[in-house]
Amino acid sequence: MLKIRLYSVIAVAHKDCNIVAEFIINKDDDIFKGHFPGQPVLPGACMLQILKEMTEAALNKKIRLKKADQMKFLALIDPSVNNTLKLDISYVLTEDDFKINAVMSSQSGPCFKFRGSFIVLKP
Amino acid sequence: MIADILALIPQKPPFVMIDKLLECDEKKAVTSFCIAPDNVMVSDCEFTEGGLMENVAQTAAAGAAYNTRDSDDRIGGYIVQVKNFEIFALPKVNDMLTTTVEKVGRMFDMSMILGTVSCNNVLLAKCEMSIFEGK
Repeated sequence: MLKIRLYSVIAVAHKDCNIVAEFIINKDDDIFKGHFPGQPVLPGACMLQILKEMTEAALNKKIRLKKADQMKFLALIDPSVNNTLKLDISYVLTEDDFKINAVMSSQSGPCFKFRGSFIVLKP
Repeated sequence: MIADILALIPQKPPFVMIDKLLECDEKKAVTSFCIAPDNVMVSDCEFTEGGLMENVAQTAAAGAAYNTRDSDDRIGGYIVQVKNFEIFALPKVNDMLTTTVEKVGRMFDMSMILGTVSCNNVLLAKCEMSIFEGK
């Protein structure tokens, strides 16, 4: 899990298949020593995991990505400049999966857009 | 083929998600990666979706760097877009991944690749990725 080590949640609101979360990136996480040395950038891979972890926490379910139809990485996030991020998730639950549209943004605008589906894992 | 992967890619520990470049030419790159238990993209003993995506991106970066190893240009590599990223199963700690990236197009500083990740000849994930290779 990246929660706690890489980010901490400030606020979450969950209503009518919409989750809105605000969180702070820990700029001192070791991940930034390697991505990249002297030039910290929040990895796209971590944005995807934050989306998954936030969804799991809000739904209280364990999920796994089935298919990301499209993910766009629109801006580089340097955590020493922009460390407060917002995530807007809207989802539709179907019988065997659920579809998600999500946008992560900083004060400067969107940095990550996601459209795809996850499966719910049996406990 | 190339043991010192750190000389090729811009990522450094703890965010290195490939071990060795096994094969490489202008069209294709193949890497191997053994998932260490303390890898930052491991959660509940599984290598996560994001880890697989990064593994594909770093395979592409290693291939691009190998092909331009004689030039002075140090190329960056930012993922711009990922499409049709399908996951069939997540690998476990200590699994050995084999990742293949095929170059399917190039436009300005952008490379389009197809990536597949397998473990013991079982396909785990595949995706299409656009990577910015400018500076």
